[in-house]
Amino acid sequence: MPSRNEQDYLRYIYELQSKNNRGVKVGEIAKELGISKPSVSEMLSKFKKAGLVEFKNYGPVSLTKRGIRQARIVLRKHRILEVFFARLLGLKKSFHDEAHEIEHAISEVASDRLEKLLKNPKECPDGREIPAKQAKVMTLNSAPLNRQLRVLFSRIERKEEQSRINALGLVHGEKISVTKRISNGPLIIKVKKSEIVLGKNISSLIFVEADK
Amino acid sequence: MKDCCKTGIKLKGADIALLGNPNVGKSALINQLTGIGATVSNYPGTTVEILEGECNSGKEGIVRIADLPGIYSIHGSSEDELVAWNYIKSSEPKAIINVVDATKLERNLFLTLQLIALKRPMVIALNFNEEAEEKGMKVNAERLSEILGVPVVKINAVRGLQVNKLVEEAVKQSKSKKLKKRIISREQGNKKNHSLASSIAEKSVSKTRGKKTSNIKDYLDSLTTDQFSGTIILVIIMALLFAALFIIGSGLSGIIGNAFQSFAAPFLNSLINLVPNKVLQETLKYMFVDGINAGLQIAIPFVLVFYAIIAVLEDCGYLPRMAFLMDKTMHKLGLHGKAVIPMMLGFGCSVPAIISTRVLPNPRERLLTAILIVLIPCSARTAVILGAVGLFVGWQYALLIYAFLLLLIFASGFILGKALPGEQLGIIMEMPPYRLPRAKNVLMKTWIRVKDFIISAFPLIFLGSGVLGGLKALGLLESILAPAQPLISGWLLLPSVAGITLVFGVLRKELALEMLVVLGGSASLLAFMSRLQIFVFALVVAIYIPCIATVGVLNREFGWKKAAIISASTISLAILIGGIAARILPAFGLLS
Repeated sequence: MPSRNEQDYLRYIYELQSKNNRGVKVGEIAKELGISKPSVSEMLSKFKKAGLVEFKNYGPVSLTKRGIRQARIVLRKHRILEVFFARLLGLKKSFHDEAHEIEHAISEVASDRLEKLLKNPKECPDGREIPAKQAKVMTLNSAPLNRQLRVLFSRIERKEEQSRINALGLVHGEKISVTKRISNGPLIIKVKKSEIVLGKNISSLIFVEADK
Repeated sequence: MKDCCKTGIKLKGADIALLGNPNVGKSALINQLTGIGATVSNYPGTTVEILEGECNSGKEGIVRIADLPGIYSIHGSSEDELVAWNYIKSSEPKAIINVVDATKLERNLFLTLQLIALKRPMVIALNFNEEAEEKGMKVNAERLSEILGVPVVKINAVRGLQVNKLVEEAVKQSKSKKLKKRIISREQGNKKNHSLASSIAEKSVSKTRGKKTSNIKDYLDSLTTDQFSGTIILVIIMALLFAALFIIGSGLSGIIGNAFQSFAAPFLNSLINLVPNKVLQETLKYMFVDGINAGLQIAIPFVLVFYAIIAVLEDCGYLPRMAFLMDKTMHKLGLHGKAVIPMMLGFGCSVPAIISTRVLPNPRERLLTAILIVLIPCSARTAVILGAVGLFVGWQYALLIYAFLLLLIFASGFILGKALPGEQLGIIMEMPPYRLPRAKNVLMKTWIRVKDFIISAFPLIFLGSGVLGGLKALGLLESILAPAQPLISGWLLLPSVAGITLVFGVLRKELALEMLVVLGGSASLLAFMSRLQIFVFALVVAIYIPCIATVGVLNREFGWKKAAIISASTISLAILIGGIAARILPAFGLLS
């Protein structure tokens, strides 16, 4: 289990990547967490060794599938707790801070029960989705055909390609499906009623989730 | 894009700019409005430069309209997006017509919301309404207009329905002093705009019952993009394309050739005979009689047939499917699927094919594709291969040359893909729906392309034929070529007349064959060449220096240095391969 500090890192990287739909820069993480760049870099190399993130020298950082899974465990706890504090206890302002304190202490079993008790809320009080426990995380190129998928985020580095997939609607939370695939080649996805061809070197940089 | 005026129309700045996602019908709309002849195709990114035209809107008089490249976002960083955005910023059109595809309303509204935030006079042209209803979606234009605060006009761009009303509305908007209150999303974030677009689409679209035709199209789509059935269909389509090209093309070529020889040539000859000077006579004959004859025999039959078939494939929307199926293979050439489209065009003529590499996303892919196009047997080279090898050596050997050229293209792509600096991009391409091609559009597009070919190729053909004809009449050709003779007869083992014809081939590839017939003094090549020599000759012609028109367009698109390097390397390659073939084939007991 990652330490409390590590959990925060993972959750922030996940949220930043979801928001920006790309890998994040060390500076961005440092700013978000209010920590110096060198300390962030230090933590990131530790993560890299553990297989939680990947990055090239000074390049943008992206969570790996493993990192995403870890981050989602923390994120789930955080957002379920937020619902608990906001809805049941009526803490309309401090629900985030309260959740932040307890997310590191609560076990998965307990947070799952709490989720049930709250009647399986879909979103946190800010309107952001609570990651489904049952969902499987994968890259788009290895996703099954004709199944509903939800986009998590990409780790595409080229600006041109980033802006293209953003404009086409391949952003966090968008529901898509893969309709055709050439084995080990490109695939066709359906997004916002249009069919888009994505090369393998693009689709392997996009993370999606599917219900098990 | 170095200049945007290649169509010959100066950009003066337009009153109205057409903006929208790729493949939503902007070019069809500007054709309806102005008749300037923008190429309309059923794949994204057809318009790679800005076109301007004038339209007489009746009450308002002349209105200038600009067709901009299709874009998904005004904040995008691809080349077409920058071209479109710079135009909007710098030439400040008085109004924007945002063309929107009703079948993909939600996705299209993402751009619409960005355009609305520009606070310019604007009208939305809702296109493909019939198709949307076929799919079971009916857009309520009034409702959409109410939500957005921008007028919405339902149009049919291809048939030209309601397009005048659209222009009137745009002019009206450009003159109104105060804009209506509009929806403006404060946060320009991608996710925010997408969810806003999604909720607007939801509010303004009502569900209807779809039509059967939509199912047939879906089935066809699925069949042609499947890895297994799609590949089989691709092979069949390609085989049919070339069979049609050879059969119809050669047939037409023969008919036209005969007609020219029996009617026009005697007339032209007798006209030229009035010229007193013998040398001048000879020069003029080469220039006009042989020039026109060869031009007609190639340009009209092969180029015309090829472009007509390609136009049908383009308009029904098959080419992007082909790009999808070929993407993996093209990756081995260091390219991605989109490069298939220019390469296909290359089988017709290298010149428009190289121009069409502009649809590719970066300079590296453009250059690499252009180099491979130079090696693709265009219709002129097909004429040589068929006319020389196919006729006198055997069809198997003609196929052998084709197979060898394909191999050469693969090998070059493979090596250059690794050698050329720069990263390989991934394909991100919208797949257009299948649509029934319209005869009028197919004919117009074929005509535009054939006309472009004639305009770009014919002057060079006349000039070049004249120069060579003059040199020959003066008896200078042989002495100029003397230094190259060892290469021709010593290394390539060809008769010495072949050397002169290879020079003619630079003008236009098939001219090499025609000159060979003229200089050899017999319609049957076998009278003065062995079968092996004919084979080597055709092989060299197919590979060596692209014709002068191609060199010209390479120079224009990539600069003279690259054009020179490409020309020099193809010459060396052709000589090297020709010489090897002349020795290896007999060693295997072939053609000896």
